[in-house]
Amino acid sequence: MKLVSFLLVAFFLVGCGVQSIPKAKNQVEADLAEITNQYKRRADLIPNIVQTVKGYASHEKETLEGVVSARSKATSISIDPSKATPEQIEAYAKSQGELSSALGKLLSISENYPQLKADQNFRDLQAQLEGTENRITVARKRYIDTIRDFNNLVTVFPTSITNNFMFKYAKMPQWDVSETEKAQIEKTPEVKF
Amino acid sequence: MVLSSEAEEFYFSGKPVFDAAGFLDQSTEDELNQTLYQVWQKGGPQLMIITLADLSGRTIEEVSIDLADKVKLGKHREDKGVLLVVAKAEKKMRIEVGDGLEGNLTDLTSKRIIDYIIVPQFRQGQFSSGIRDGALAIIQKAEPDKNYLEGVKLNQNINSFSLSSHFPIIIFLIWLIVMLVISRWAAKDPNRAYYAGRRGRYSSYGSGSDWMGGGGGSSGGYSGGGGSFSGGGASGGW
Repeated sequence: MKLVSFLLVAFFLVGCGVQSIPKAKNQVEADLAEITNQYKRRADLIPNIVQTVKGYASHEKETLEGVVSARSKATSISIDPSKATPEQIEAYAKSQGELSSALGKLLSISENYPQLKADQNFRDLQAQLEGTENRITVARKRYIDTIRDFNNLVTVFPTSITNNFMFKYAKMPQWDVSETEKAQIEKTPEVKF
Repeated sequence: MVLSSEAEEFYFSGKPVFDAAGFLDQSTEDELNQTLYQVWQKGGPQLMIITLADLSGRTIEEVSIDLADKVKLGKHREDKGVLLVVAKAEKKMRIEVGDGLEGNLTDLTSKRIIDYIIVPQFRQGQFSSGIRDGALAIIQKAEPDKNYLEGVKLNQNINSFSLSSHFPIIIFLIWLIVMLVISRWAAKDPNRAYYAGRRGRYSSYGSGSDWMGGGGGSSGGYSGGGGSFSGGGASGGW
């Protein structure tokens, strides 16, 4: 009788996590794919923005070229969500952060060009860029939540036992905002027209 | 996550409009409740309007996506939900667009609805009609080839953003003034009148036949169907 009840408990404990752990891992990969999706969307908007700003502020060569080169660096780093190592993800996040900085500089210098600010095309592109940045923020927030959920499953009893026996997944590192981007976020002033 | 207590209660009301900040006069609110419910019943977008007294220190984008994730407007996989959030203290608003409507209700379109339809009226103190016209524009732009708003009087032609004639506006303004006078006369504190009136109406609407058969759960009436949001839409302020 004791053996039966012991087996039942053991069976129950092992059963915990058999489904939820792989599901959580799949969700992490899906959410990472969504992040790369939104970053790509941003990258696609940038050439237009650069062209529009160039039309009014062509002598701001350094800033314009900064955005162009940051963008090409960011788009050259791609990750496969199902096999990305933490180092790859970190490199990817860093390059996107540098692009965010360069973009931020471009938008802040456009404050000095009233005709550019009034340009309807520029305002439209800004609206689209704001929308995309918000999507990036939402995608990142969800990714962070999903990683946390996965890490909980993998490290917390009883699903941790299942993980130790069956899957042996390591805890995943959290998405970390690169240093440059952190500084940017902390001091971005609110842009008012 | 801390929402003001008014916002936390909102989705239990089972109605399209939750006007905690008191922007809407009663008849506009009733009209919107009815129109938005009917649009949803016909298979159109599921628009919810939430006004808050304040954002409790968070940004409009954070509050908006939290609310959208909570309510899950729109049917799962169809995702035709959209949320209009207005915060009184910070003077900010946001249109949060569900995944299924992003094709037509682009970030740009949402921004235009805010900047050209809602904000100009807000700046003139016309909050009720601003929200109403914005809501109707959202419905129209979300599915332009469908005519969900048949029979609804549109105060503005949203394509040209101009009025086709002045006469309806004069009538509207007279009606608005009359409404304001009546509401001021009816109660010492206009805000209290709204809340008292609304509580009374909850009980009659909750059991009335208007709100049943919505396919929702025990809360009845207007409820989300598992739709998802990705952060699309636009924000603005006045």
